[in-house]
Amino acid sequence: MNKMNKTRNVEIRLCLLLAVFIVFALSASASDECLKCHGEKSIMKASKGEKLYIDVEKYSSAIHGKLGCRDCHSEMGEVKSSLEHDKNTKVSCENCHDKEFETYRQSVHGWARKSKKTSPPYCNDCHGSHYISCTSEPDCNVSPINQIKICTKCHEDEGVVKDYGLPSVEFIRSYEKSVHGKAIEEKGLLVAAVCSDCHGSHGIKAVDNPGSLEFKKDIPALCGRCHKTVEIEYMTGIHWKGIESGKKESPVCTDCHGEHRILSPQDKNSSVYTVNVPVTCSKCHEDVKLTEVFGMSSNRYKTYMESFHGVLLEYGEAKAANCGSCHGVHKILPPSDPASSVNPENLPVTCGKCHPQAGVKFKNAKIHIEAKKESSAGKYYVRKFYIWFIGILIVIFASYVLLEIFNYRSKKKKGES
Amino acid sequence: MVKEGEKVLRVNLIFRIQHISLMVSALVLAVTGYALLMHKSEAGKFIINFLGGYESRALIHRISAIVLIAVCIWHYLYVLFSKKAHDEFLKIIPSISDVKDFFTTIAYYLGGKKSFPNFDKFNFIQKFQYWGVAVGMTAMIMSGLVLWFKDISMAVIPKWAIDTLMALHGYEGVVTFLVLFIWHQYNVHLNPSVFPMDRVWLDGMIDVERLRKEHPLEYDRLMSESAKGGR
Repeated sequence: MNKMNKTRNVEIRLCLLLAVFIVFALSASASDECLKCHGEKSIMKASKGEKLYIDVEKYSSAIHGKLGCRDCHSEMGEVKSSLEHDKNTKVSCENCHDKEFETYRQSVHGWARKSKKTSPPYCNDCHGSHYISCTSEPDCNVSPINQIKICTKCHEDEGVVKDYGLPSVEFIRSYEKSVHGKAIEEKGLLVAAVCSDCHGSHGIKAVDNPGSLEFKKDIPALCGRCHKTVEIEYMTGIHWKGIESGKKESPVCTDCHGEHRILSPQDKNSSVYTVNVPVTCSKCHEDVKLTEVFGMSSNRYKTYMESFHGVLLEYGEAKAANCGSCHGVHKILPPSDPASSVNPENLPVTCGKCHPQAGVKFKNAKIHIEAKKESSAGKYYVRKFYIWFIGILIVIFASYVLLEIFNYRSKKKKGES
Repeated sequence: MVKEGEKVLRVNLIFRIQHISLMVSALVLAVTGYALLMHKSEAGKFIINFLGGYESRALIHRISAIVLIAVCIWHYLYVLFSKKAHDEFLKIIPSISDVKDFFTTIAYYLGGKKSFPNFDKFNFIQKFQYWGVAVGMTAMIMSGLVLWFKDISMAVIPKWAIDTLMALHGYEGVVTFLVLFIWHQYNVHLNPSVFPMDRVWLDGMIDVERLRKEHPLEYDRLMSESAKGGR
């Protein structure tokens, strides 16, 4: 009895093995059947023939090279003759890649596909079809270098941009000039951020509300995936505290650095190039509404630009201190914070970075000088005195000159008569 | 014996050299200083860029400052230690009679007085001019040095005082500009009695006729001295 069972088990296993073998053999023979025509270069002579040709060698080395034709072209019917066979070549990637497909379906590309306006990208539009290679391979369609070309195929197409109301071609193209675009294009740095690094891949979502807190909240972590130490620094600063406490006006990375056209701080066109920093900060810190709403000190830009630092910078002397030189860059703290570089107690150290002699005399010193009685009495009274003094002087000079000339003329008249 | 139609020396060569050096350096200082004061205006930008940018503007300003400081020191040493110059200096020291002269002049112009005051070698306008410039130069040089040697200043002077001096340097510069380039230019160019130009600053000579009219006390002194000498 026991022995019988054992032999039966072996038989079943053998049957299963045979079945698997038959399936493989069939599929292989099916591929062979297709490749009889599609593997021959002569098929390219047919209309749209280039699409019909399969380079067998190239295909078998691709990532799906072990799959037979019908594994993907599963809806293909019976092939009776070479010319009159079923043309249903539909491929459903989701049969295997169900998770990716679900993410894609919910993405902006998936939604667009539902609305059936034109033809938003399907799997093969980005990944290719027969010769898909691993994403780590440089020749892969979605490798860092190639995906830029893939995405811009549509996003730099005026027609597509107009149809869907997408961001302008110019804006998309500005990436090429950015520090990221140059790093990958000129320096070959594959670690540089490309489209998918920031926007995601299968699950790309539309930027519905770029100014919203929800949107801005995620930016530092996103940039922090590569710029980790900067993210950590930023997170300790007042700007992140602002975002955390629900102030959507508080700046995140992109507010100062830009988006597609992020330039190196050494680039003279960069919004964070030393000469341009004051203007960039002034967008918020010289804004009447924002300074009022958040109780920030006003006239910071104006008073800075009137200072020697400001004038130096205005005339392109890059060595002069800009906002960041004193206030910090990513980790900016309010002056009230004892750890802040602009806390009155810390000014000797902060100013001392450039002016080693500016020791104790700079403790509690006023920096953004306004000619106001409360904050800078010295300048206030000097200004007041000279405005009166100059005014009176001009009046005296002018009246004396008038008197003299009037007298000279009347004397001359008398002399004549 | 000084005769009518002749010329007499009013300003000697050293004073004339000092005057021209002061004029040139003050002019350059005014232009370069104005450019910085008005750095936001088109004119300011034009001057700064014309001079080769911020740093070279500062350099030119400071070179002129050295010239001006040197002239001032030279002048004070000269009037202190040279007998001739010291005598001249004593004549320019203001006195009560200058205030009287001022009011008499105003009254005369307004028609209240029939006689014009009798001036000595320097009238009240010239004295005001000289001392105004002296005070102005002192203020400008002191505050300018504080700004120039900012590293030392920052170590010894409180920040608010530096800021105050910076404001003072700008405003006092405007005053000096007004006194030298408006008021003084009127007196030596546009004033009807000298138009188009008082030539004393070039050759130092003045007509005896004019001396008698404008500086009668000095004329009298000169006449009595030359009469003594002639004897």
